[in-house]
Amino acid sequence: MDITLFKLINGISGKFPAVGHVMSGISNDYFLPVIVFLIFVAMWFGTRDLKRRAINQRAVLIGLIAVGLANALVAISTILYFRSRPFAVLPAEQVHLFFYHPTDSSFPSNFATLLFAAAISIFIYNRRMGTILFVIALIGAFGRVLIGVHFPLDIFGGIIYGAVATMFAYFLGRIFNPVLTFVLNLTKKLYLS
Amino acid sequence: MMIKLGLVYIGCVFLAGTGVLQAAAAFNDLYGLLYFPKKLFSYFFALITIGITMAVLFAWNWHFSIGIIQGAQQAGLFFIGMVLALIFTLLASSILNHRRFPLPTDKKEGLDALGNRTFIQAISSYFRKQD
Repeated sequence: MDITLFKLINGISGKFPAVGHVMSGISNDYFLPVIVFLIFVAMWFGTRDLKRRAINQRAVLIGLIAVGLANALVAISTILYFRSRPFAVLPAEQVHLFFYHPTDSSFPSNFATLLFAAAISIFIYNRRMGTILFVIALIGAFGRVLIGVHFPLDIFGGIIYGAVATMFAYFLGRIFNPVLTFVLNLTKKLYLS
Repeated sequence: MMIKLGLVYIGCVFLAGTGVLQAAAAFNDLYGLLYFPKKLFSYFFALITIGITMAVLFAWNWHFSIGIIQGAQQAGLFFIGMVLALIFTLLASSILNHRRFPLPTDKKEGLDALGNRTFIQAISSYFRKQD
């Protein structure tokens, strides 16, 4: 089913190469991750309401912890389990690759893990920004399959890893709440929050 | 090659970071952080800097077909670029707005204090209070 779904989604870029080229720009390793982190910066500095700003800044801190944990989870996972990329498994004529040949494990998608960890952690505190980040993550994740570097299951794995990392980050944030409060107070003293 | 990629990435983050900070400061009425007296110019500046960065990042794989920046390295480089953007914004806005604000007498704290004073004015008044 994973391969069938992959062929269905990746087939779109085979039929419409322009879509594949555009998505290879959107779903590359840098474009969306930078947008997500810039949204973090905007949330930190750009909230007018004091109460809402404090919540957003806490969300950003939890989001950063979640992204860090998500990266660590993926690093551990790829040591324990290696899955080959679609272009390495399937015959060349069945894969429309619009990307370089990554050599690391296909499962889980590091890209999806990072974007969904960011989206879920922000969604807990700020539904509107969380939804925007979810849309960004979904577009990026769909694009990774469309350009031929991931199977859909890798993306699904990334969503699960992202959710687990966020859960850990959220509970760490509750346990070490005084540390987060200290960081926020310190930045406030420095006129940065 | 890796050093070149890293420098371009930091440059992109720095450029977009200054833009986002200008847009956020303009939206939040933090006049002490703005480079320009009018908020509209700040939004325009943000549009240009973020636009250029996004164009470079979008076309990244076509420009740099060899070499990648790994996830953890990318996080570190983003942090460096963003810190540089923040330091640049704090210093540049303080210099550009140096004569704009009379010495404020209110006791605003945190980011809000930068609504009617520059970062350097705020820090120096904080230390004066400590004396």
